[in-house]
Amino acid sequence: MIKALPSGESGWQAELRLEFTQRSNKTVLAKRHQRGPLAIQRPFYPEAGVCHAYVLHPPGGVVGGDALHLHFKVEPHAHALLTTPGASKFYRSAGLQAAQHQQFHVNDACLEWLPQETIFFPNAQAVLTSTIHLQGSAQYIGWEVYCLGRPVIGETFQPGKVVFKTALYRDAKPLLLDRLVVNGERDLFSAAGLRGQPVFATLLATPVSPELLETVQPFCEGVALGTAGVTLLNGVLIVRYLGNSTAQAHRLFRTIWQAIRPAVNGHVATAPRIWNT
Amino acid sequence: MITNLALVRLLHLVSPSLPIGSFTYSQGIEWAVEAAWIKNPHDLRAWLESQLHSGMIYLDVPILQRLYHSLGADDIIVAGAWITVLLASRETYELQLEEKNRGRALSDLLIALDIPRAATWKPLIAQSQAAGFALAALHWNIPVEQAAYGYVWSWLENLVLSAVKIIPLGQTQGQKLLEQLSPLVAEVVEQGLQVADEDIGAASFALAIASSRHESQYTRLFRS
Repeated sequence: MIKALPSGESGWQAELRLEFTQRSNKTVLAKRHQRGPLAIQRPFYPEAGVCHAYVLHPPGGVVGGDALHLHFKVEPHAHALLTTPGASKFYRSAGLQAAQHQQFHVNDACLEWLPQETIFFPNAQAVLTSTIHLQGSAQYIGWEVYCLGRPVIGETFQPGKVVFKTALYRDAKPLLLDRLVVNGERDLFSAAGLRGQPVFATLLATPVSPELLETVQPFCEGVALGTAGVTLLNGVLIVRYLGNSTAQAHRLFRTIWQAIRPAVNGHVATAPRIWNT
Repeated sequence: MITNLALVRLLHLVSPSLPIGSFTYSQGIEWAVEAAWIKNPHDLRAWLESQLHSGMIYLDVPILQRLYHSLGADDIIVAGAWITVLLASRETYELQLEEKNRGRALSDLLIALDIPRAATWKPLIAQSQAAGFALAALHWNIPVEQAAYGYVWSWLENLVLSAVKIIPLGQTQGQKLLEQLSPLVAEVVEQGLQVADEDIGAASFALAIASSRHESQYTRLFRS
């Protein structure tokens, strides 16, 4: 049951905790705790053993004062693939900050987090953090596609403030630390930063070998509607896209996901059906 | 206050003649020029300003400051943790490699100059040029604030000199740019020394892409 808990001035406090474990030959959702408007649809199995699931945020939009917490835990030998059916939206705020905190623990297991894009309306105030803890031989593929304003209707992101923090650890050692602040015009148009482009996106995958990096490099050349690059830092493949099309960012990431998935986690890529809709 | 001798030491530490190969790195500028992101002095200035406003304030200066204080207190555990943070915050393989390569070259130089602890702490400071810089500043009694001025200035000067060759620009145009950006160095250091632990970190998206693409750039003269 989804229990809505509006808490006065502080907005919606929503939380979704999921724990996946391996039972004989398939991964099951062993524990689920939800509070407020965050939910998960019944898992399904389009490929052998791997647990696919959609994370839902029924209100669809986040306003100042709201906080979303996503905690995913994947236990040894389990393999979960999570995605979202639609874009997340952060609406304009009169002053209160909205927050989204993602915490993933992957313990000798595999997690794929392949959500739709996150859109920030003009004057949004938000902080988004992703903290990924990998243990042992854990594998992870995840991406985030962000869009400031809605370029398709010619809307630009008037100065709001959004802070993005990503931290990826293996056995408590930081492999990748990333903090991006978009606070006003100077950050939107910074020459070595966003260059006035509304869409920026990052794909992370690990473990990845230097040979696999070489197969990904050509995908990043000559990308339409933007610029992309790939590097391999501390065993983490990092693909970045900067441009004006969320569709292009997704196309690029899905192509790369299909190319690298067998090497990263031993599974041929099976595109979630929801991507075709 | 900085003593006259310490000032001379600082000039030595930031000299482009220091044999640590600073002039061989472009930090993505070589690709940014090929991609026509940087075509003229105006573009170059905007590129450097944007890094001064983000990476220098929120990453380099605060970590240099923390390395200075932890090494000064002989606390190599804390210093090592900050070096790990710095290396994980470098956005690409090449930028991280530059941090390490310059660190190794600088640590070799500090050992050759008989700077105390440079040899015993080599495994630590050889991973990061910021750490070697902090150790040299401590040994030569350069206050942390002035050390940070020197660090930012030397970063700026090296990149301008590289860019002048790549774009190419006239030597005078490069010097003009340095003259124009100098006041910003003071601002960056002042702000960078105030940054709290939880605000450390800065990603420059276009820089990261330029540096990533430089890793497989067909014709390149610079190491980053």
